[in-house]
Parts: sequence; C-alpha cells; structure tokens
Amino acid sequence: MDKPISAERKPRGDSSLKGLGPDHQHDLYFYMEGGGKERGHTYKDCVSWLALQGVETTKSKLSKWRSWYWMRLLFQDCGETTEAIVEDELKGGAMITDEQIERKGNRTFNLLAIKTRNDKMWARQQTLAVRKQAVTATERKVALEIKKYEDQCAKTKEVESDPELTADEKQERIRQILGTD
Amino acid sequence: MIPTEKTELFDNALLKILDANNTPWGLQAQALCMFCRELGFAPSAGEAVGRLEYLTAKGMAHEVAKVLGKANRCWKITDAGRRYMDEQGF
Repeated sequence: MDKPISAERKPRGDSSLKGLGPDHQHDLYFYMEGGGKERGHTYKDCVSWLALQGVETTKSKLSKWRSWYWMRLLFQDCGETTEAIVEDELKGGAMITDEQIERKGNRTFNLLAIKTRNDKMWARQQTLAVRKQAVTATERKVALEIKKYEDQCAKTKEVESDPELTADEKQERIRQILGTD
Repeated sequence: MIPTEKTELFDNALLKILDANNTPWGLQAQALCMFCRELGFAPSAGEAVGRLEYLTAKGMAHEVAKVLGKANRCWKITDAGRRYMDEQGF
C-alpha cells in the first residue's frame, strides 16, 4: 500500500517512520496503542504490520518513534488550542502587536503543554495503580489456591496412611477432600 | 544534576522534544524539563537553558522572540538539528 510522504519534513532513508505520511503515522499509532474496543499491538506485531505495507523497521526504531509521536500529538493539540485562543482575542478587537501575540501564544502554548503532560502522567499513574491492585489480588488468589492444595495433599496423605480404612473408603474420602464428588 | 557523561544523551533528549514540536510556538525551559522526564532526565531549568544555549551555538536549535524577557525564552529546532536527529536514528 503506497502512502503519501509527509509534506511537513524531508524524509531521509534512515528515518522511515517519521517520513511516513501523516495518515500512515496516525494509523500506525492507532494500531500500536489501540483505542475504543480496538486493542493495541506489540512492537513485534507492528514490525510485521509495517512489513506488509513495504516499510522495513525494527522494534528499537518503533520505540523511539512512539515516544516522539506521542509528544508530537500532544504539542499539536496544544498548538491548535493556542491558535484558537489567539484568534478569538484578535476577533474580539484586541489591539495587540505581533510581539504581544507571539508572547501570549508562546506562554499559552507552554502552559497547555505542561498541563496536558501532567494530566497524561496522572492518568498513567492511575492506570498503574489499578494494575498494581489487580496484580496484588491475583497474587492473593494464587497464595490461597496453593494453601488449599497443600491442605488437600496433607489430608490425602493422612487418609492413605490410615490402616482402619478399606481401599474403597479411602477413595471415597479422597474424592470428598478434593471435592470431585 | 545531569552527569557529564550523560550530557550528550540529554542534548539528544532536548532535540527530540524540540523536534516533536511542529507548531509555530517555541518551547520554554520549564516545559522542556517536564518532557525530559519522559526520556529519563530530571534537569533544572538552568541546566536545560545551559544546554539549549550550547545547541543554539551549534546551530541545532534557535531561540525565538529574543526581544522578550529572559523568563519567556523559547526554543525551536533548526533544520540542522532535525538532520542531526535523523542521522543519529532518533
């Protein structure tokens, strides 16, 4: 599948991912991260997915591209918001010089970037906390299962070594202990 | 504080962040410092400014709106900076 090369920057042979068309990069990011009901994919999957489209890359290049593209999307959002704010101000009849526009724009853009980055970090921390809780719950469940198994083993041994029970009675007791009745 | 042996990596991190910014606006040291954390560095604004001045002298970054006060200094990447990043495989 041929995709247009981005007009934003002149691509080099050794920067194939950044040089892909904007839509192609967006598709790649979506494929990698997932979104909505769509699950994300591993770097290995992404390398294969790109290879099918004639783009040769490596997991390491994908990793570098991912952290770059994430920031690019964030800056793009902040830049668009800043432009809208500046435009509104100009439409409102504010008499401001180019220098003031630039100063306001830069200030707004930087504040938005810092805030958005903080929000994302907060969201990541929350996701991490939830995952940590899930891991702790699973660990607890596994520990209980191990304990249950050890108890069953001990009881089974006890039954097997009881000389007063017949073979059938032993089988019956073991079945009861294992809960296979 | 950024150890001397990691200065080059820190420079690369700064360039990577500047490279990701494709808007008409420049990035201030405070914002750059925040994004540096994503890349494993926790510099002070002063350290970032020092390296940005070095990168500016090397022609890889440029300071926008120099007429503004020192508190509002902003930087953008230059074509030479982008070329360097591509050559380094970033």
